[in-house]
Amino acid sequence: MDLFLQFLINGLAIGAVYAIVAVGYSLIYGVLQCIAFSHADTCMVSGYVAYAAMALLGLPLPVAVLMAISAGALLGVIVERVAYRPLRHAPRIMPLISALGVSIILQNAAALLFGPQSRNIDIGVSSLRGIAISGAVLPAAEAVILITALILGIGLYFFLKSTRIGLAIRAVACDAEAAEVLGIPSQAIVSITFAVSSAVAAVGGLLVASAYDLFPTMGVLLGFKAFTACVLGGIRSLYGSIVAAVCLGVVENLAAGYLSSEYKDAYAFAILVGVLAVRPQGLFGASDRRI
Amino acid sequence: MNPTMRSLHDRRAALLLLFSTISLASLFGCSRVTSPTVEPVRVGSVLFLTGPAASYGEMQKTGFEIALEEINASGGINGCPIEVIYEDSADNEQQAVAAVKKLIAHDKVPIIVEVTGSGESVAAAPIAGENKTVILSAIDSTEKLSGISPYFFRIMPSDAYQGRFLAEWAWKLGWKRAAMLYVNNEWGVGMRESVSKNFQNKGGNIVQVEGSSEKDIDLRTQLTKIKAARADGVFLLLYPQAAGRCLKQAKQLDLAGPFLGGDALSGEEVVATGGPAVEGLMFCQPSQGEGPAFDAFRIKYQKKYGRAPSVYSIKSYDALKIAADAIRTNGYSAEGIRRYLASLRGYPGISGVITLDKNGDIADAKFEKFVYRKGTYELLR
Repeated sequence: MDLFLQFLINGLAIGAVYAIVAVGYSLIYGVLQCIAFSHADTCMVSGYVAYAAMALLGLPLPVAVLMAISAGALLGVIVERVAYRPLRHAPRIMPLISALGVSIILQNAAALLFGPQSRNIDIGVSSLRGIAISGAVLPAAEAVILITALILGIGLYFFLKSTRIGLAIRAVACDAEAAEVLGIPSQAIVSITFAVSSAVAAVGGLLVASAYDLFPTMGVLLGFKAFTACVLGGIRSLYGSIVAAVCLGVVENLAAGYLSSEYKDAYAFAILVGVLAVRPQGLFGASDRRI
Repeated sequence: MNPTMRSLHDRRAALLLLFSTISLASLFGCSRVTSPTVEPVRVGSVLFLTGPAASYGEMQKTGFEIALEEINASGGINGCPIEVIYEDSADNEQQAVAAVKKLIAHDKVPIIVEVTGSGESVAAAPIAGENKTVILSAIDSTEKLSGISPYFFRIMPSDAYQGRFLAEWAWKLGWKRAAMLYVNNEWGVGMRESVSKNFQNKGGNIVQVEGSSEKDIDLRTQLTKIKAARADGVFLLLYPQAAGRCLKQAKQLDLAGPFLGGDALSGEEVVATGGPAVEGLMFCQPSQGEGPAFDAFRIKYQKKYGRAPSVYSIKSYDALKIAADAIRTNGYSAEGIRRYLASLRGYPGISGVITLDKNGDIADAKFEKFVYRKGTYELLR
């Protein structure tokens, strides 16, 4: 039982990380109908900003976190401006390729600037003792991930539900042209969407860097898993993506725990293939529902 | 011919005339130069320059660079400078094979000094063999590479030795029931087999075996199972970065170890990633060299790169020096280089005296034990 609980805790923590990234894919897909493959690399860049601020400039943690989040948001806006906007009316494959290009550039820029080695960010929790729960351990770093993800989720919910900008994002996602006619500046909203989802990804990057690892290609597998979660949940459904991401983390860890850990990554993709065969629109997706 | 075509045609003719004049002039120009221009001697190299284990590429390249400087400063190979054509495999077998094919077909190098990665070399060695191109590996260690092709040689001891050494060490530490965490690739699986076989031969039990993908950042589930197995110790058969990450997560899960692994754990990334969680980690690696040549290299390396050289830099330095020696002795041909390496006996490398056996392997392997203390590792006597 304690083993099951431990697998569950491990799964929830990594699932929460997937969810933080998946939210961005889903939001951006909503307003642009394109997969922003470079999104997961935003996590990596923000992680390095925090690393540079703390380890190289010696700034305190809160300043570094703020810098990382602002840098993430700014990067999102710039990437949208440079890589997506010029291709708005191009065939759909174009922004996809452009996104992959951005991803390669960011990874190599990080490798050039900081070297290929991985880095360690200490947000002050890795030395803390974990919390014991009936034979299992909830490490402090994972507790931070779970709490932060929860706060982000609730914050995002109210942002989209109750603020004018959130409403505008949903309107643009629903129908950009109609939103424009009603006086919503859809271009500005797209930029804001990128800023918000990239800021969220930046927090994800900080969490991954502190609990796991920070290295130039860390976005690759993270992005794949988050994207898998989006497709599983139905990419247009924001909350579907979140639920699917958490489920993905849990199932992957339970399977690795009770079956074999050698094929841990394969389970995620097997689930994806299985679900798509039965429900091509994803678990929570419906062709007419939008975020 | 219409007017546009004609003008195009004229323009082409004019261009052709211009080019031929320039090339003729340059031809005569060259013939007046008294000293002949020396063609550099080119060798290939396929390293991990990017990707999840890119630090290996960096460590190897720095070793090569010092060897290059030394060879070229002392007149190169019979007056010709030596040059390395670096290719990046990004720790990916397909990319490594493509790079090897490119070096063979396009650059026509007779020798490739290093195809990093056991999986990469297992894939590339037969292709190089078919094309009669030598691969001299500096750091590949998996057992499968022994005798894989008459054109494949290496100066890193086979994991057959390292697996035995680790198993015996663990046994001496009093381990009876051991757990194991390995990276699921050619090297990791080879080490898993070698260590398990030797540890069981000693009478030990491997009670939990867990694999992980090279790219996976989350090892908690594997560690949870290992913790539940309550083993006397854990064989850690991972690359440096994953090892650091693993130890960090093990500490968070209150899994104390002890942890024991092979030469991969000497990488500086272990500490960069694992931080204080690395304390107490034990590993073995092939004996580093001794003597004045080794000291000179160490000092030069320290001065140029601001840190001590790892075993990978040291082995890479030796490999390139041996390759240069082979070309100097038997000429710039794959057959000559192959003959030189096949009969290499008692070569005074900085990593020790190198003798290659009939399988292309280093004939004897000595290992040293190390332990991490306060963010760096020290020799265990």
